[in-house]
Amino acid sequence: MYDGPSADIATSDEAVGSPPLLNLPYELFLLLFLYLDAEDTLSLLCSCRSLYGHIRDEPIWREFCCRHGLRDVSIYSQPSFFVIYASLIHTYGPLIGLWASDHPFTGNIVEFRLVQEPGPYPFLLGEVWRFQSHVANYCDPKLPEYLEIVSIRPQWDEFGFPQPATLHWRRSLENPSFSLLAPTRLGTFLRYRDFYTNALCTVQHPDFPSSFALWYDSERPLPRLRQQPCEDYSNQGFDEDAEDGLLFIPTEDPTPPAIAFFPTSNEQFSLHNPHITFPDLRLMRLPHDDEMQPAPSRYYPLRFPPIQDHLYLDPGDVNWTRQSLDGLWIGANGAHDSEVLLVDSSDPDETIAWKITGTMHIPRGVTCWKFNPDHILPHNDVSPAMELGELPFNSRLFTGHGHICPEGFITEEDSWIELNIAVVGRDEIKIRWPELEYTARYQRCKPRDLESEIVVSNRGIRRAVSWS
Amino acid sequence: MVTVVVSDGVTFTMEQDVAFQCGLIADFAGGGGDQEEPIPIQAVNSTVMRKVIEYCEHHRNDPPQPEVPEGTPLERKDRRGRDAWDKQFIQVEQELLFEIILAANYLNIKPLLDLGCSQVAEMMKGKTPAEIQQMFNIVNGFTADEEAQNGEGEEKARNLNS
Repeated sequence: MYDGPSADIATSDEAVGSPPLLNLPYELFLLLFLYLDAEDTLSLLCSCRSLYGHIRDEPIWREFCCRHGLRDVSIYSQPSFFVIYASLIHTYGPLIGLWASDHPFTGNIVEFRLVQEPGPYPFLLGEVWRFQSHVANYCDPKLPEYLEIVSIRPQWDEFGFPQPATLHWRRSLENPSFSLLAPTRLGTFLRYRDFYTNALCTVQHPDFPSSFALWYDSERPLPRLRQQPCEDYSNQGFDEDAEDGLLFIPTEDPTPPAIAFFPTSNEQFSLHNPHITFPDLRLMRLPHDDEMQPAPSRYYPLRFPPIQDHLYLDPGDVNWTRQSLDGLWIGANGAHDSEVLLVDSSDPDETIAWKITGTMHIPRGVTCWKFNPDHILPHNDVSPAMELGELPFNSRLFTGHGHICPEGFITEEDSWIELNIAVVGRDEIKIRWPELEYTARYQRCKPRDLESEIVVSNRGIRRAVSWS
Repeated sequence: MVTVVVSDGVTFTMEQDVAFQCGLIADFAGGGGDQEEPIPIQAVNSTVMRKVIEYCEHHRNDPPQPEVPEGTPLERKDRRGRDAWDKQFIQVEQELLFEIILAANYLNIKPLLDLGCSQVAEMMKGKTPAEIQQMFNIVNGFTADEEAQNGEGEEKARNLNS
């Protein structure tokens, strides 16, 4: 640990009549960094000789590492907080957390986390969430498998000076990379032939994020990478008479900046772009590419609000409110893979579950189901309660609405059906979709319990054993 | 009532709940009844003490502030208890600002220390090293050679990863 000077920060000959900033005792000087970001810190430390002498002070960089969850480097023999911050965390630390992609219909989730296991150094790990289809058990949600795609590792030279972090890719053959993409006005549209009129129609696919997206975490900073322009596009083999497909068409509203993974080679592509049944004709050229490539998915910061203790209540608790449900949930979705939903109660009239990952019927970014908290279903209403199966006596029951649509999500064809919703526990909801004759279970998505996960293979696949 | 005497000989008398926001005075008075002898506070002068008492009087009914956990992101740090009154209160000459910080540290008034330090940080935000030099009246003290090297070093540090 650092045990440097606790006297004034200026050297003694400078201290005489020197400005009050330089006369601060060292422990008060350190307090300033609690309120500064890294850029301002660097400006301050570069502003004079005596401050520059503190540029590698561990207590300063410890604060910045702490903000990204790294509190201890004593288990590592070499790198200091300074080296790890400068090499790794400054640029890539903002990646830590969940990212949701705009891949049409299905979406996708990538998670970055800081690995602090014993080893030569801490590093960042990026993993794709992959849900398995589960034909055997329709009604229960499954936790995803976590497929490692990239690790980002700090580096330093022989003098201990930090060097740019290096990226190590798994399951990719070409030289992959990822970039920060600039905002774009390109919208994704679906072209299809109308079943009744046989006319060729074009409809905008739901924006992701839309301007009101509650899942978009605007508080999270983006990685400190240069933004790449991404307006150079075409639509593969575009043919006015072609049957159907997903197209790029410029729109009025720009999307926010996003991260994206390259190249869109086959294996990498399928990881980030789960299969969809319409041809994706969207091509894009990025500055470092010569040719048009299948357009990459754009990943946006996904809000994963921590559970607040005072709201985390059993439905039988008198203080339970519908805000107790707010957060990420994983739900069963019939024969489809499990899906990720954001439940939000900020609307005064309704609690809404938004799809973060979706299907060909109800895509990502669209409302999955909703209920009005005043529409309480009496426990003695026998038939719906029976359909929901055996419920704990202190469950809370509501009637709500579920969103359904034929494949393709053409919005004139979507409709809402009545649902019976049972909040059966702090972490569990059951919903009866009567017209589908189907009862789905939804489980609260919690931070991962890494200790209990099993490593499935030496290809970097991890799997949770059970719901925590 | 608690009475203190500061470095330039001025005495201040205040109610206990005002005075006891200063950890030092609370420790000194030991939680007992009225103090007969004024408590000497040699490290603080009357100008600064007046500001300190103004702060303590305004915040006398505040509930104790929760500790900010280590490594709290900047955005969330800024959001906590710095109301319009605090902002107005801490808009002072730079010399006085640093004296308030030193006094808050000496007297052990954590919220005032936080307020002072965050105000100094606020003054630095978005500024270049040259602007910081000017604002805080710092002579940079680098030799011409070092200056050139720093320029590079700073550039290097900033561009390390982009």
